[in-house]
Amino acid sequence: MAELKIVVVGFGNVGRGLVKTLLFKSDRLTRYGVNINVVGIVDSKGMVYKPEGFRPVELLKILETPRSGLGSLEAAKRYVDLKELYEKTKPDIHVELTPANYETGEPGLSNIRFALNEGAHVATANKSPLVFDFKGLTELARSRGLVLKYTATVMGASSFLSLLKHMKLQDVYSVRGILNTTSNIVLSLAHEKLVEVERAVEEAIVLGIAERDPSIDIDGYDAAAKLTIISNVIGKPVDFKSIERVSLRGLSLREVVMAIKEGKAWKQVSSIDYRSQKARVALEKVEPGDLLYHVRGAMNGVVIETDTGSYFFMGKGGGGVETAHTVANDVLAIALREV
Amino acid sequence: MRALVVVKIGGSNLSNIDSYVRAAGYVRQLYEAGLLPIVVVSAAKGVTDKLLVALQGDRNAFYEVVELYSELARGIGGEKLEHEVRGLAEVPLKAMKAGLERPVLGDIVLSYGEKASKLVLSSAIETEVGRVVRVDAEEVIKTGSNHGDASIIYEKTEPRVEWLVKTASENNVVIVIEGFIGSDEKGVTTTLGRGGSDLTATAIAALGGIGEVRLITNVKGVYSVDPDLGIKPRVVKCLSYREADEAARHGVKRFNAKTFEPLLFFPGPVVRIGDYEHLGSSVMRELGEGDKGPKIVHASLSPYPRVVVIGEDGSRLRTIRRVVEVLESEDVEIQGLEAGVGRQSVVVYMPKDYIPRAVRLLHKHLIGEAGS
Ligand SMILES: NC(=O)c1ccc[n+]([C@@H]2O[C@H](COP(=O)([O-])OP(=O)(O)OC[C@H]3O[C@@H](n4cnc5c(N)ncnc54)[C@H](OP(=O)(O)O)[C@@H]3O)[C@@H](O)[C@H]2O)c1
Repeated sequence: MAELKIVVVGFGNVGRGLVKTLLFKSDRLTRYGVNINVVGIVDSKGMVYKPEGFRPVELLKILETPRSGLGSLEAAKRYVDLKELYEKTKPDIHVELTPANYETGEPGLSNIRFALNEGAHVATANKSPLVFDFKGLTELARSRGLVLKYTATVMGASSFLSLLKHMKLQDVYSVRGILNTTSNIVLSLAHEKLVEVERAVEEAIVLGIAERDPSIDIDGYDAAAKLTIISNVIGKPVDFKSIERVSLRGLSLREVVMAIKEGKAWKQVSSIDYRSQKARVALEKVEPGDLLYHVRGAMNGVVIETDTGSYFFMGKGGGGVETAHTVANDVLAIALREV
Repeated sequence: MRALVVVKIGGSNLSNIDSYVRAAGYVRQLYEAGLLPIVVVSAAKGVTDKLLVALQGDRNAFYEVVELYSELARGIGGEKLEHEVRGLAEVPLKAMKAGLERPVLGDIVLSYGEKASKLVLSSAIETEVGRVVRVDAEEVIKTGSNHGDASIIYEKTEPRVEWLVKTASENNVVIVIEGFIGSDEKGVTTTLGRGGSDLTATAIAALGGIGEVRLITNVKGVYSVDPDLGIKPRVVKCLSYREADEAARHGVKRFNAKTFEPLLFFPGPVVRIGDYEHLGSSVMRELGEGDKGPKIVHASLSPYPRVVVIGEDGSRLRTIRRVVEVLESEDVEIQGLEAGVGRQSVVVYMPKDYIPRAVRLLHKHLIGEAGS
């Protein structure tokens, strides 16, 4: 049985989902000859660690803490210090689940660099570090003989990126998809209930579907980040800053109603066209003949055009537990490489 | 290994600090007796009604509920727990301010009752037993999006219940989970409608392969007739799932339409109903021959006045004949009779004025008053 120690940095929806997944799917991991020990968990205000790994009951108690609540546990440190965490626990795998930040890439960027420099493999669902330094991070990992996995960064609840990564011999002409779940839910709500986009956003925030600051999603940053990652995986990188973005906020109820009358629907469509060298996150009125018309609510979908034909991928875009499964699969993949 | 048991603590048993401590004491008793309870908790007494008032626009009614739970939390778990209980109120308050549409808002506001109750009860159980883990029903009970009366999607809920059962048994911990609450595909809170907590309990037992469910309320079991009608009822000792389902369909008190639904699909557990001291009634898959026969007499005025005799019966014709004989012997006017194939009841339609007499007669001759 391979014993691996992981630290979970970021303990929100996905971080909690990951700990639950590791707990509840431990049998499956055992079947693969792997035992994953969570040795440290970090949120923005504090951290808990235990060099020999937390027992299941301890993890369940940690899961009971409210958001930003790790520091309230008895054994917790009320500060975040990765250096101390690493010195005490010597993790094999670092899981980066902090929020995305498209101004600096932090804290994810420094955290991943730190982890790789300390000799830990990394699995991340946080996109922004890759947007800022895809090449640097992947090269750092390679040079140190480590693995950097990021499958959950695009269509988080699925293994889409792994499939795409596998298509090494195809020549990709274009990528076109619905990549941001919050925007898709908001637009679906606006069409179904005939409400203004602003109102649909407000509703999504209260329901916990959208972030309190929904800008990252509805102003197109998240989708642009995903395009950047996809372009890097394809091997034809597009710079994040060069991607044109349009906000959903500009869409009026009148335009929504008109689209419905025409039998169409507005979608936040992200695309890279390598022939015209254009990358953008736009609002498009799509018709039923377009595959993306049928990608509604919590679903994401991407059409990849290549020299061997078109491929359509569709799946749930995110969700704490679902995304956590993708991250856990990455952790397992790293572990299996170690076995 | 300890045998798991699902225990639903009803709102009638949860009101003040003592009552929460009493409930926790009951859980400890079970634990000490070698069982491993999964506790399904309801909102405290009167809370749901207050929250319904809040939904009519009276924000103060909501604050009253928050104060009630905060006081309970302070008394049982101290300031930290109080802080958590108050923190939980943020989402419903925001939802009320945002003016969400009624069914969605309703579920967010109503679910506060169970969520806060869970925090308080689990803290009390922590003190009594020590080994307790809180689980969010929204993560386990997956439903459709019919807010206010959502249906459980069993195939999505089953693997989650499996996790729950595994967590409890592998770690030897008491799980505390809210009744009545679920979440839809988007993760938005839903509620299961009237009797939803009972449904949560039976669904967990049915899907988790757990042999026993205890629905703890404030009466000794299921009554053979509504005591408010002035007749001394018996406590019905055993019922089959089908009888219980039939009783629920006819609107018999303490039976809620959906409680027995999971058992019809995933049979197995015995559901015992009663109070802390006495679980007088058991609902089970099959009855022995001796346990068949009329059990409950129930009257209903709408849509048509009628009296229903509920009970599985090996010899249906004999029961029908007996019902008719009893009523005719006292000149009760019978307007119609219904005894469908596969149904566990005989329904007699009659003019409204005959109903009290008919109930008394049928109860006396087919079931017999308590102590008789
Ligand atoms: N949710 C999804 O479906 C999904 C899908 C794909 C990818 N992702 C990505 O996965 C990441 C996590 O998503 P999430 O939904 O779990 O986000 P989240 O709920 O906001 O959780 C973020 C966590 O990171 C912690 N954090 C913030 N700053 C930190 C710091 N400086 N050091 C350590 N921890 C810090 C937060 O602490 P507090 O608890 O103290 O706030 C919180 O625990 C994000 O980058 C997101 O874009 C999410």
